[in-house]
Amino acid sequence: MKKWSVFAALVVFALVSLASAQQNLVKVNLQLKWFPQAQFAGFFVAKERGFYRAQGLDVTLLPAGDQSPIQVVQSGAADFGTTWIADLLTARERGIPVVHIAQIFQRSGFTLVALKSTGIRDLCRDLKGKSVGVWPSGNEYPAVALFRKCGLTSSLDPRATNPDVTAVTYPFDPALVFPDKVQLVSAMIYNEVNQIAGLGYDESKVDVFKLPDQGINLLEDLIFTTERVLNDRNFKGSGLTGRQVAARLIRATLQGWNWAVANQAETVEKYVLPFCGNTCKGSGTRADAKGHQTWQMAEIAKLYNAGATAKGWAGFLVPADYQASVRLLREQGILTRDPPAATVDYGPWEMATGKRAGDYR
Amino acid sequence: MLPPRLARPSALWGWALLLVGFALLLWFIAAWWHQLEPASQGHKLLLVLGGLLALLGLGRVAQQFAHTPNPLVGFTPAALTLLLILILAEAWLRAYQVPPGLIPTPSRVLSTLLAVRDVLLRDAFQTVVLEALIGYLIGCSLGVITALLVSRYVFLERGLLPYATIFSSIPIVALAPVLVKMMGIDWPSKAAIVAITVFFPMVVNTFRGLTEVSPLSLDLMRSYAAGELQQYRWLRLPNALPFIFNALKLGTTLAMIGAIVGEFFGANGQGLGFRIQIEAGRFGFDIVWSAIIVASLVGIAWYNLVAWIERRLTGWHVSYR
Repeated sequence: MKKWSVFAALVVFALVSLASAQQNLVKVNLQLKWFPQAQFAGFFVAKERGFYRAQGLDVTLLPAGDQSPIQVVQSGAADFGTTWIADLLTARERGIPVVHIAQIFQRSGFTLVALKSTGIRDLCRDLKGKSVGVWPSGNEYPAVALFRKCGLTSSLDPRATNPDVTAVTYPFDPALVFPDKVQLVSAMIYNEVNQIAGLGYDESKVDVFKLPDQGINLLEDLIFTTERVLNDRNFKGSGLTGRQVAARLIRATLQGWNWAVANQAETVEKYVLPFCGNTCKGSGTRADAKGHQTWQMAEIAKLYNAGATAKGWAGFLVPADYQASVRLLREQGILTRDPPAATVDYGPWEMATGKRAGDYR
Repeated sequence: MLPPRLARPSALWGWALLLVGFALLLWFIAAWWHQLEPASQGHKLLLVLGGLLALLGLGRVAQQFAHTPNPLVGFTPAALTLLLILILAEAWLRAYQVPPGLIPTPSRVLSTLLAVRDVLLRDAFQTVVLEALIGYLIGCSLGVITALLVSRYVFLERGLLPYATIFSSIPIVALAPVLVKMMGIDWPSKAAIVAITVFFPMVVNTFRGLTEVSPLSLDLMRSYAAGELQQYRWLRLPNALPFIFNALKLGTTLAMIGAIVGEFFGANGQGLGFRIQIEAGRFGFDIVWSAIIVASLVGIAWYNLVAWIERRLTGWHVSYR
């Protein structure tokens, strides 16, 4: 009896490995920055419409909790990840060998929202003495950069004993702190702004301060990996190098994004809503998941279809934008030195698109 | 000068080995202070040698302290062990060039601890005094009062105590996100978590102390015609003291855990848990470790303070005679 079950298990195992060998797909884990929502529409489209498969990849999209995607990729639990530039560069400065390989969003969507009744008109002038809601895990840097740019210290700074601004952390849902505990709350232009509106604070009652308007234009959703993955000569025994896998991943992902922004309604209906539960809902009167995600998809499309993408260079990290982000982080003391050249690798993107980074004008 | 007892040959050998081992390790650390490359195999072999020598030396030295009456002198081997572990960690982290964003070296942690001590002290005030201590005092006093009532009224013992027993053995800390959401992100929500965490062990322990009274003593009280109050004052409460102190000591640890974990789910910009969470997310592990050191020191001091009061109040108990 026991012998037979062992034998059966072996047969099943052999069949399974045979089947996967025939398909010959390379297993890749990609760590998303947040829970499934339209923010990652391009990745879902690339997976579900078979763009990854066509590139020989079997991609698993891992949803995030409140852990930094960099920690997951660094530990090897994921091969690639999406995150923001400040998070990536500070990790690099602290010795974690992460590498930027493609820039998905060409504009920042970070805002701070305040009730009009608080009388905050000019962020820099009126911030002092206020409480600001921020998200931890590397999502606080845009706010920190703003505080520093305004010459203010905050309780996020471990060297400020008497901070000008109190930074309040909370589990991401703005309803937990706004407007009772904080005067200003972090809100992505494609998500929390609508949630706050759903709670009864729409544009007639709140001011939305876009951080890019304040000179804080830090690049957001990008694809990164580690030097270990890139320099792998034989990625997971597939016969492909790490760079080749990265290039295929970028090619299929950009294909997915282009499809998603061109077919937004279908994307939300078929490729976003089936993959997200509660996390796709808005709040209050705008709680309906379909409505919220449709709106989010439109906002996301604006962040994707800007800058280099609009010139037909989707996924390209514009060197000037990168330098601007680095300069801002240096000026505000968030970085103490320029990141090494190896922090950005255009190789996989060039391989994926057939363009040359030096040709960008 | 070494005490004469330490001057015996084997002890001298021990000290010599220890010194050579430490010297090797320290020499490597000094040589590698500004290096950015991982050490060569030869250097790593040297580190193994240094570590082994120091360990052998430590073993011999420790034997000399086996019968030392003075507790401070008797702590020497333990202190040397800690020092050895720190130096070894420093040397190995440098030899392999482990990035500080993953594991910072002990020296980096110490210098960070000094640099950010003011902020960490402010954090500690919020976490320890406002959250842990207030919650602890409320939870413990409510626990004792509840136990007094439960031991007096049988219907409470039947109806309430089973739940206290169950609750004292489940991780109440899992309630933290719920309470933070209910009571807001300020310190009272964390004090509530702490109060609930320490409450149930206190009820169960105190109740046992109040009721596990020798029948002979009870008979004696009855034959003196002692009233209920007198029974509590002279027999049940003194009998319960060691049990209460057990719960109080257990509570110090639970209180620190509850306060720190509670801050992970929302904080108003200060606190040790807030600092640990925010800095872990941005790879500032030197600050994370500094906060852990502060939390540990406070925890140890608090536990020992309670233990000291216990010895003062229950010196008659069999475990201290």
